[in-house]
Amino acid sequence: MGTRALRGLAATRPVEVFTSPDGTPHAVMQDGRRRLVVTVRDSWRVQDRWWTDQPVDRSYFDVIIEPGRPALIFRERVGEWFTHA
Amino acid sequence: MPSPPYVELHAHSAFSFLDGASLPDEMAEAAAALDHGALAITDHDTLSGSMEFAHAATAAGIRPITGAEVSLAPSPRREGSPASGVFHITLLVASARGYANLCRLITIAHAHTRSTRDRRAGDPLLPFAALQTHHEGLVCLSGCARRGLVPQLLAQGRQADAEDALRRLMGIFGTGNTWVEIQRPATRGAKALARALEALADHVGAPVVATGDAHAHHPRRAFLQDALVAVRHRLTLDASEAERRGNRQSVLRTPDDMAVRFADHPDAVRGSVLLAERLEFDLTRDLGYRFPDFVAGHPGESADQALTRDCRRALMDRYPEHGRRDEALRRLDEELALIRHHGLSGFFLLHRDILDIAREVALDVRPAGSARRALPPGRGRGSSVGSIVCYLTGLSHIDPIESGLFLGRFLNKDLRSVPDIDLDFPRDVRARLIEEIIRRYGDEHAALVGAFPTFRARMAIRELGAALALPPADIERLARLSDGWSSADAVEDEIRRMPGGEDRLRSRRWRALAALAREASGLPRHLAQHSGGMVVSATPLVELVPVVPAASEGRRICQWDKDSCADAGFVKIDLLGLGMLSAVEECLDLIAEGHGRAPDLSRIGFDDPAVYAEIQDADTMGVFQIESRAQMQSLLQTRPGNLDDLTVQVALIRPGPVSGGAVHPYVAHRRARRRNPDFVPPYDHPLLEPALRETLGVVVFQEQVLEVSMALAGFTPGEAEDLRRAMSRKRSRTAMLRMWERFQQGARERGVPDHTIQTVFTKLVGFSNFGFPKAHSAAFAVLAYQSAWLRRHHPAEFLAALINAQPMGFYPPASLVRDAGRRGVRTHRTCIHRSQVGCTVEDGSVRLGIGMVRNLGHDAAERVVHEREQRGPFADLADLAARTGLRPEQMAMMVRAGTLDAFGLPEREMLWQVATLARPRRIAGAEQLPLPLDPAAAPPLPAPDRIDRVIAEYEATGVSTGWHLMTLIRPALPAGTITARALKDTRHGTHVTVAGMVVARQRPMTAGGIVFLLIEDETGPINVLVRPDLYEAERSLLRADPLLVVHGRLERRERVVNVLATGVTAAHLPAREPVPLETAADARVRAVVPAAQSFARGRR
Repeated sequence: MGTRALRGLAATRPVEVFTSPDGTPHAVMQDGRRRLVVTVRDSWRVQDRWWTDQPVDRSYFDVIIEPGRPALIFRERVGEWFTHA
Repeated sequence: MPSPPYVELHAHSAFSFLDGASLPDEMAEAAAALDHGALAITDHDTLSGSMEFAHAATAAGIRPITGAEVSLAPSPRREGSPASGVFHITLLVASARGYANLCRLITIAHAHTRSTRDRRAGDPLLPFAALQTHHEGLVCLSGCARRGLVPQLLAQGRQADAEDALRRLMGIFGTGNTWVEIQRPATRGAKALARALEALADHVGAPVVATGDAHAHHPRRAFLQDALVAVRHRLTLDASEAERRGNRQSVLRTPDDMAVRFADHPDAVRGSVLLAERLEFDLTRDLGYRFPDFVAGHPGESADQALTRDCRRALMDRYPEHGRRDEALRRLDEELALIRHHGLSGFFLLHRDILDIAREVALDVRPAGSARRALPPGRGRGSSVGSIVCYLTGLSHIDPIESGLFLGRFLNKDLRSVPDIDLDFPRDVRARLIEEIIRRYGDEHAALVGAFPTFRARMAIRELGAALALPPADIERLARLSDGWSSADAVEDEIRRMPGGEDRLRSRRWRALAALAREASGLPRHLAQHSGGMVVSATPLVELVPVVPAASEGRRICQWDKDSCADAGFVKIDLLGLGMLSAVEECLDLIAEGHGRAPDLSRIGFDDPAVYAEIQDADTMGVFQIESRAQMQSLLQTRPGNLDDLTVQVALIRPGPVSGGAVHPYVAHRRARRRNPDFVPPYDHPLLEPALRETLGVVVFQEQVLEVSMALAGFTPGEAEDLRRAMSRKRSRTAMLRMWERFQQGARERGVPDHTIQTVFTKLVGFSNFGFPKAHSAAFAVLAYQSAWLRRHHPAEFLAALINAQPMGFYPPASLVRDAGRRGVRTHRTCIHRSQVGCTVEDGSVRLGIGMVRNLGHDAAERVVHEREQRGPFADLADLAARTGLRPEQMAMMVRAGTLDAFGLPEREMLWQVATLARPRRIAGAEQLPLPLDPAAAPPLPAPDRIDRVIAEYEATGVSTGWHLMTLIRPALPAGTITARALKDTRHGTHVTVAGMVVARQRPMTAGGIVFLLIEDETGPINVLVRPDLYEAERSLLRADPLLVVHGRLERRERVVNVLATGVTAAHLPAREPVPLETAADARVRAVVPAAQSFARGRR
């Protein structure tokens, strides 16, 4: 189910995300503008490929940002944010 | 402390095979450490870990809840259900009735798991309808997020079907007993699913409960969990993404953490606590097993009366003289009082009934007119033979009065668990007996005890290495080199030793293999059958533990191992098949065939000097229990001279006395006693003298642990038994500490100084449980003597019987044949005109049986012999082929074994003919007539040389009747290489070179890294000691090469001769023409050497 995000969604780029103290995103920089997260539709964790040289440990957020645009963003374990383009 | 806000009601242990990654006690201890108050283990379709978990949880201070996640077949009536889908529901036990029902349901789910022709294990599947009849006392949860019945239908968008399924469950289990299970595995869509489940629950009025579906006790184990899933699906980790969980979140967490994770489902969190309160069943307390009370054969009498009457009647017969009869009567009254006290009379009658069944089975199995028919069907062993009740009821053949056997371990006033009764049988009797017992008592009342093989190092390396997609050749090399779990880092060390090892360890995959293997060690791999334990119950066994079909037809195994069965208080009957009993019985038959009558083993006595002379010279290859390399070396020093000495000897070379430090003192005291018959061995304390006098001051027998603790620390028999059990089981560290305190206190009260208390206790712990009870040794010593007697007086019959009873013992048939040859017994090749299926005796020589020819199999061999006996000898190859339908490769193997030499053709011509023979075909509903088939004439072919013939013989039968491999290799050995025989006359300290075929490689934990090699040349065996530095330097050679040249120094200590190796090389065949074929022959030679006893891996 959830972890299949790895498949077919490989293209990612860094994105600036502002988070609440509990770590959930509340705003995302898009097109040079800070856009608020309207709702977090889903969140999940992918920890995989730990036996390879590219281990994956990501917290995914499926969010709607202003003005009602869906976005799939994730935070790497080290803290950097990315979005699936 | 406030009670925890959450109770985990869905967790898997490693008994969810290849899914759960932690042992039940790890789960219990982790739960306690994480502040849980209770925990449910809900393994997939099994209660295998339930008893172990219940005890571990109780010991850790948390309340165990019993349950299982069962795999449900979709109802056939339901249209729209995917026909191939399997759904999970979680069942939790609320009451004893519920437990019985859960056992029945799991039994039903497994009923058809062995229904294919090859009886390979299939997946358990519970028909929905079974829930209708067996739901009382159970609480049903709607199942896990991934595979749960209701969640899966919801996830597929089948809202109506999900509601319907939930309502059906509610209709069966009742509204209050059907809970919607909500999980948060942190996977995509899980939150939406949880919300949908809660909405559905609200809609139909079902309560909700949050569960964690934990698969490991610690996040560290979650890596292994991933790998186990890949192994289960026979996929690599890379290819098993869809099957794996996708993250490491399904592990045990604190109740507070879980409450936070389910913050948006507060009712479900509260639900876990409310539901847990209702699940009061405790497996350690409420099982409801009662001892069997089988009095069917004694109408109108209680079991107590029946047993007393039978024993007294037998006593009058067995003890005709008054003196001993009085002593026997006293002993009998004492035992019967104890038996009545514990309510065990029915249990003894049950055992007697089983022996009666065994007698009937034995008469059926042993052919009429056979010398075996007069023998008892089996023999008692273990502690039971210390009992006079067992002796009088025929369960044991050893008179405890005469042998001075101690009753304590078997029966005592404060008995903690049911005594085992162990019976040894020849293999054929045992196989039929197990089936007959299940038939008599019924499927619902009798089953075999289970066993859980754990991940062996090699298995872990192979399976985990495959999951990690490491190169198969590297993995195979690593697996072969592995020493087993010698340490936590064993696999890592092994990888480091491989070529380029350090580089490998820099790669994540190889590092992962080392880490995963370490985590996997000790985890159960699957359910298997215990070597001989059966449980029989008066109440239906299938309501006490699930019972599942075994790999062998007609047999069923319970899901508990012997420890869990003992914890449950089950009566356990151990029916072991002993290869040596089979061999002795067949030997008697062979003697009777040749000489008209067989010796009566009960009248041969135990005092033949010729037999003891051989035993004292360690000339014991093939003798029961005293044939191993270690036993032989010990025999040379201890020199047993009677049955009592043999009884000690059998028990001495066991892990218990060896690690308890008993061997060297015993040997030294024997030597001192030989020199001075008045020698008094030193005792650690005078209080120990009565217990240890017969073993010259050391602990050799298991019951001496009891006697020592009673003598030194004043333990009662029950406490002493607790100590023995505490030492024998893994979940007993705290128990051991308690015993140590009690021991110390008791001994101090008796004025024993502290250092003595420490010394004695350390010896007892070293001994642990790894020794034989004296009674067991006494029974084995009898068999050891009888086998030595038969070997001495009827060597040909003994050899034939020994080969026919393979696999058994320490040596491969090739070594046994060679040893008999040195003792004047010739062995002939198999012969198409003369051989039977098994080995036989012809004029004092052994004729190998056709059944030994590889690829032929017992059935084909029987067909050949039967055809010859019915319709006369075979004229030639074509005749043989036509009349038996043997396949060409089977006939070719017979040619190579020399079976067909009697046809008078050269070997290569026969091979040519075999290849060109047209084979009769079977046509449905018709049979090919035995028409002669014309082989094609062979072109001129070169004759094989003697090396080819010897290799072919080894290849075809595993035995060479002519040349020893080493005879062929000898011309190519380094100059000055001497034989085993020449070694006998070589002086201590001489530098020697020897060579041989490896028969055994051992590295005992107690020998400081020294490796013992037993090699054999054409004149006899040679003992080689390899120091750790040489072993490390020549590891692959020493571990794997079957033919070695050893340079070293001859060490002669007393009568023990060893070669202390300073160097080893491989031994090779002499060069022949044409050269290119040479390497091939060399490889063939190495391939045909019989498998050695290699480290922990025996030949069995």
